[in-house]
Amino acid sequence: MEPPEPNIVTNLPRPEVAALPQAGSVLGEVIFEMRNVSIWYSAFKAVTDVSLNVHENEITALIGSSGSGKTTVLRALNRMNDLVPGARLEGEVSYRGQPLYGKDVSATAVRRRIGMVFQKPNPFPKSIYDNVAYGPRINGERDKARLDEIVERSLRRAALWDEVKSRLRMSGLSLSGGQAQRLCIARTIAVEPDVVLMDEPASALDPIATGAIEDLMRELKSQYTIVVVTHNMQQATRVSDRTAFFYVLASGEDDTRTGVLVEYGPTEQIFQDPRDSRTRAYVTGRMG
Amino acid sequence: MAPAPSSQQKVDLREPRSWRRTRNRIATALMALSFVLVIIPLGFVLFTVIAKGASVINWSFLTRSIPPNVLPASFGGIGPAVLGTLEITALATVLAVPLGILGAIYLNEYGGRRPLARLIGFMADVMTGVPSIVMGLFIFSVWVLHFGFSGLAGAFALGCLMLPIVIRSTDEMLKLVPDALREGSYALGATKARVTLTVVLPAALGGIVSGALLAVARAAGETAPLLFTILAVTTANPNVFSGANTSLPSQIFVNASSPYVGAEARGWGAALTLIAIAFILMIAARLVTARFARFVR
Repeated sequence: MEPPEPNIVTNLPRPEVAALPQAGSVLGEVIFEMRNVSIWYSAFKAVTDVSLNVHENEITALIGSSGSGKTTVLRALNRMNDLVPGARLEGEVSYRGQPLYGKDVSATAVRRRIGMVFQKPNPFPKSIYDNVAYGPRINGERDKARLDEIVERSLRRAALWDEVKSRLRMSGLSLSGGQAQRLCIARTIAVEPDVVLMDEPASALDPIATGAIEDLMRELKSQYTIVVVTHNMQQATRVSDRTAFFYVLASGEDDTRTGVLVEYGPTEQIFQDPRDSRTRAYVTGRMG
Repeated sequence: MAPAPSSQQKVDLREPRSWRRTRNRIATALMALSFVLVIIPLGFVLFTVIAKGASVINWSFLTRSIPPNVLPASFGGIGPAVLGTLEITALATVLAVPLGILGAIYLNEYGGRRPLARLIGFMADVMTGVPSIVMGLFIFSVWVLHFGFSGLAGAFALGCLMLPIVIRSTDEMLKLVPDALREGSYALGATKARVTLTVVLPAALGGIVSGALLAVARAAGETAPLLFTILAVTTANPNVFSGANTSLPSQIFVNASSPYVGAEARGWGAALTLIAIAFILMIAARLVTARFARFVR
């Protein structure tokens, strides 16, 4: 006979464990681990001392007011900040246990595994087909039949195929805002990334297109890990599993401001039972 | 159906008579006047050249060799000058356009704020302001004195003139490519070279090509850099790499300073031919731009 289950009496709430995101969660593996990360743009310290873990097959939302460093943190996860002259990062970021900013790590190789969807849809001035085939092509895929298959599969997964299948040769710029954003998502998933980073992917879209993008995110969750920056708190509650709340810390003495991570935990807890008064003020709409 | 009578108070939405309205009208009239003033010299030049040059132009005028100046307009033509202009300009284009485009790519995509890039950008601006005759003298002293007159020397001088124009126009076009496109490509794991070749250049190509063609048209009409580099001979020289040559601008210069009626008429014909070549290049530039802009809109 098996011994009785040891935690058979745990029908009591255990908030400490549930609130700790690092506490070896029952969910997927740790994809990103940030430890005491600070990021500068030249002399401006945009983010100070951020530590958080991102888990596999989850949607992690980064919320907070403008200037709190959400986008900066997001762009640190696939080294997009490398492209900004004067950007500098301190602290440790690891991706699947490997240092992301290690000496031998190529930013190009990082970005092939960690894709990004931007705030403003940015389709290339190429045909719809060539937009989606762009990533596979730069990875060396030349076979026409396989490219056709990748393009169709990616567009289907981005819920755009039915709208564009008859006009794949038309310019990607001819699409509406919501379609263009779904094209950009199709372009991102065409290279089969491990993680998809999204920087306010629906902020330029109407509610219907936003709904489509959110459905898409929930759909993609089974295959990808998603980190999303959003200004829209309803969006965070609708789609995300975990939420990180960022806050602008202003110093009166030397008039500097910097972004800090105030609270990070399961989305439900952040919105219904926040530990920090600033989080409570933000999620209830009394601030920012 | 007439609108139902309204009990609302009537609102006057007409522009009130005021000094603002008067100023607006004066400014509009001034702009229309400047437009007319700009058009007058252009139209006059075109009209004069067509009026005096059209009568002599026909196929044999464009192909026959250049006769002695004393002969009347019905004799000979400007064949060697047409050939010279085409071959020298083509060679100058081959020398200057790729170099200028690559230089601009370095300036805009790779150099960033490095001192070398800043220096090159500054020098290109300075070169734009160098008088074309100085370019001719420069090539004369460093090339012609050692290797003699040739179409190649002329192409060097014209190339020096085109280079800063190509660099500047390409640079401006590359600056117009939104960074969002570059980031989109980087985010898919593209290297810098890939981003430049597959996203930035295609997006800017229409503007780059039309800028380059404008530089070509400008160079095709230059006289001064050619005076010391190719001379002005009367027989066709299909070998652009050696021996003195001639060109339409040089021929216009020679004929215009000649007292003979026939030579003068041939000069007008050459001027009209040159304008026609420039015009064709401009149209080509427009067509190319439209062709490449297919996906940009």
